Amino acid sequence: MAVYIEELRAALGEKVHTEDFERFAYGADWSPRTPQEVFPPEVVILPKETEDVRKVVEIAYKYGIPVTAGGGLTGMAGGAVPIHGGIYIDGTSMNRIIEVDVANQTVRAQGGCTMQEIVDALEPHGLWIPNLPESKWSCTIGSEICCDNDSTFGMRWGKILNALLSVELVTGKAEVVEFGHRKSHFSSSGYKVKDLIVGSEGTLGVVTAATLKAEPIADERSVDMILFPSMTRAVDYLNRLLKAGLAIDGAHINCKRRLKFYTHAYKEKHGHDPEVPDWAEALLAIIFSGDKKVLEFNKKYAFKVAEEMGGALVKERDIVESWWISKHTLAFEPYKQKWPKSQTEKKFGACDPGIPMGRLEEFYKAFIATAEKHRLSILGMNAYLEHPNSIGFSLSCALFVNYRDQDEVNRFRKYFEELSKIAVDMGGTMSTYMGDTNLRVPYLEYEHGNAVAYFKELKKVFDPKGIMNPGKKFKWEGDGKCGGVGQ
Amino acid sequence: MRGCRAMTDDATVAKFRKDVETCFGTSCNFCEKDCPVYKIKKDKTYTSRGKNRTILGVLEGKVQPSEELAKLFYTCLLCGSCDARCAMENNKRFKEMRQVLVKRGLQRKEHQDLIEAIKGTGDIYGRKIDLAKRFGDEPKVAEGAEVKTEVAATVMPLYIGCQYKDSAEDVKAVVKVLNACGIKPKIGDEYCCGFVADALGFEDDFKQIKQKNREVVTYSDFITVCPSCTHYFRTEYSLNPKHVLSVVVENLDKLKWKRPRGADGKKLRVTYHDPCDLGRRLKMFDEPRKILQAMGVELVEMKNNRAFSVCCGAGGGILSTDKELSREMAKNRMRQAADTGAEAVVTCCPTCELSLLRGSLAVGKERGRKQEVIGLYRFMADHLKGRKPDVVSGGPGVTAGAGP
Repeated sequence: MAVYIEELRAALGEKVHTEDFERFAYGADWSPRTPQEVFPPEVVILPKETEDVRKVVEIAYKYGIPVTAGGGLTGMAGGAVPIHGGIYIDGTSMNRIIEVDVANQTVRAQGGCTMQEIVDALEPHGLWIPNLPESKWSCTIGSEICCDNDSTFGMRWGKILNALLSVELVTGKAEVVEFGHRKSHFSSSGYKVKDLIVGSEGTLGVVTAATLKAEPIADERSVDMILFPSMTRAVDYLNRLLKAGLAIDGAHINCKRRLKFYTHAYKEKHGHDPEVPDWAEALLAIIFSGDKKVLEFNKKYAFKVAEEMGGALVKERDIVESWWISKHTLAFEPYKQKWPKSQTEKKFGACDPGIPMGRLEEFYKAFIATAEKHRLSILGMNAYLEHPNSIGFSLSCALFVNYRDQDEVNRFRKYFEELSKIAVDMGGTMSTYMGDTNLRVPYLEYEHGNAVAYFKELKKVFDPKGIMNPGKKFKWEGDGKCGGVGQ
Repeated sequence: MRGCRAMTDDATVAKFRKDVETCFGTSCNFCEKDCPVYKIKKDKTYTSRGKNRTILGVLEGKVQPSEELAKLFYTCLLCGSCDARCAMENNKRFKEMRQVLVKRGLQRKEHQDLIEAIKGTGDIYGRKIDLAKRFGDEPKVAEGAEVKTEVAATVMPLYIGCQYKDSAEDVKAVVKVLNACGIKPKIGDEYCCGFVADALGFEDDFKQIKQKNREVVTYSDFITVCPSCTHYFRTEYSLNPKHVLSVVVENLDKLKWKRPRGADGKKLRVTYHDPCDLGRRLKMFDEPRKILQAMGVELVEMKNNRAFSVCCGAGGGILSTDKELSREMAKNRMRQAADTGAEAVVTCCPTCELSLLRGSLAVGKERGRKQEVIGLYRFMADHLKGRKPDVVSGGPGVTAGAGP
């Protein structure tokens, strides 16, 4: 057994797992890949406290061993897959809620708490964290920070950075550092290094704890859908509502094709997909919350404006409920949970670019063209509004990928790279919630130009030996002694 | 450490490929959320997704069969929680993996001992109990405790099962309740239904036990008491026994109850734990609840109930191999029960009752208040006041009379 593993065992005992069957399950995440593309680490650690993580990184630093930390392993682009072997830290074993401070509306949690665990801890106090992805049952706060993933209620509450007050990080030098401003909501003191950690994909260190700002739970919430003749019209409509002064909790613009994927519950009940009129090219899901009277006012005003702008309210509540179930409540009938049935032959695979708000239709056409160029089945596009009280979206450009076919998976990856570059060409960005992972390493300079040199220098400050999630964001210069195969 | 030859070309394992690849492709992780084993171990390998991925590793030749690998598949409750949160039959696959492991000599010694006990005595604990001698072949309830009914009793065989055999209190409770429902249970020789052998992967032994069961237990119409026996008789023996609770529900409108009272003298507040076999497998979620409502309790539900109930921690053979893990899982379930504020947890499975009792002691200390764990049969018997007069239709002047 490798010397570093013996040292890990001496330091952490039963928290260290090395049997082949104990490691295999950690070799892949949710991203489209063939069953042969599994990269098990050499060793899996299940830490309980920050000190455990510090000891792991200390030993890894001593021997130059890659360290990949992960949460739910539901990442969509391979971010937490240990492609260069070495050590995998399963953050979910560190899932203690450290403190709920009701008076100051904050919660501090260990990095391995899932977003749902945090929400459950806050609920008895009438509080919640609105920055929730669909994967909230699996996604840990550590992952959410490192991935900067999407949020269902981003239109009002933004993404995780808007709620993140402070973060504890074990750096690549095995130092435990707290970045942030404790329980105040913002600060002009020091540098905003906390912000740097968001979206860093574990390449700067391991997030072991975080303090978040919680919000009061509104009395009522409503979810509705409005049809529009185009996605651009839906964007204009939202802009109009914001200008009018409405607070919109969440807004998601689905292209017509995308709706089918979200309405499994509808299909189970009615035996067919929901019908959308031919003229409607976009379905906007819009979420309001608040006191009953405020909610009623907002909805009435919003629906009136929608009608004026050529929109039509979806009256069939089953369509809306079905979408909402898929997106947020995650309810399902026992034995009929939608995911396995819908992924028997092909799976959901997506690209996550960001583009300027005025180029949505143009980009949609590019998405369709690129998918068709690579002979991939189109699932559809969704624009998640994720900037608080302003138009700014993450795009999910989704396809069906036959994960048993290496050629199709390779074509998906080509589509992914190409669409990422198109987004940059349109004045946008390659990624808005999945991260660069290893897939976009060759294109980092394409988007960021000479800023990449600054990224690399920053990386060296935190991780001088380049052991933290190597191969993500940047190519790994390591000697490959830990096995694993770089993609 | 024992190992065995690779399974890459094993026909049983090969047939799993499509499903484990689908799980790999899907990777939704819904199974993780309420997996009782995962909640304690926090090791992804032990979830349904993890086990499916491991099977994939076995198929790809990247995971070698070994005693340690076998431990993974035996550290599973086979509770069905993952199946309820999926659309695939994961439990069936994991049970079949156990069969593969047993065929390769990787079974757990503790389980082997259990199987030998069953084959030697027809009893899961290796006991030789003369049921007719212990309970009488037509057991009677103590005088004064019986419930008089004007309806002539139907004699029906009653299959008690290994888990209840030693519990005179439970058997007498069942008899009393059945009497009130117009049933005169008849107890005879029994032989283990064999569910343990099947669940632990001893396929050939299970076949032998089944055959022996049918030689000893010759009736086809009967009433059952234990959820696991009921499930197995229905699915593996193609019989259709009636569970006691179904009989009670059929007679519910005729039964009179003494209302259970809490410590404060008000309606007793209870929560009900759905056993995996009675609930998820036999789909008997409503029956116990109807009975409890009829009895006049205040019923509050745990966060996880019905099809999404969480196992008590004693299923799948875990009790014989990891008592500590089992107890931790029981504690987690009792914490959910404690969260309801109920004074008592009612359940209808002998395994669940014992497991939850183990959990209740520790959680009682944690929360400063111990919840009672009550078996539904004894709960019913203790509060059964009588049977309403049976009305025989036929016009005025006709009253219920004794039967033929």
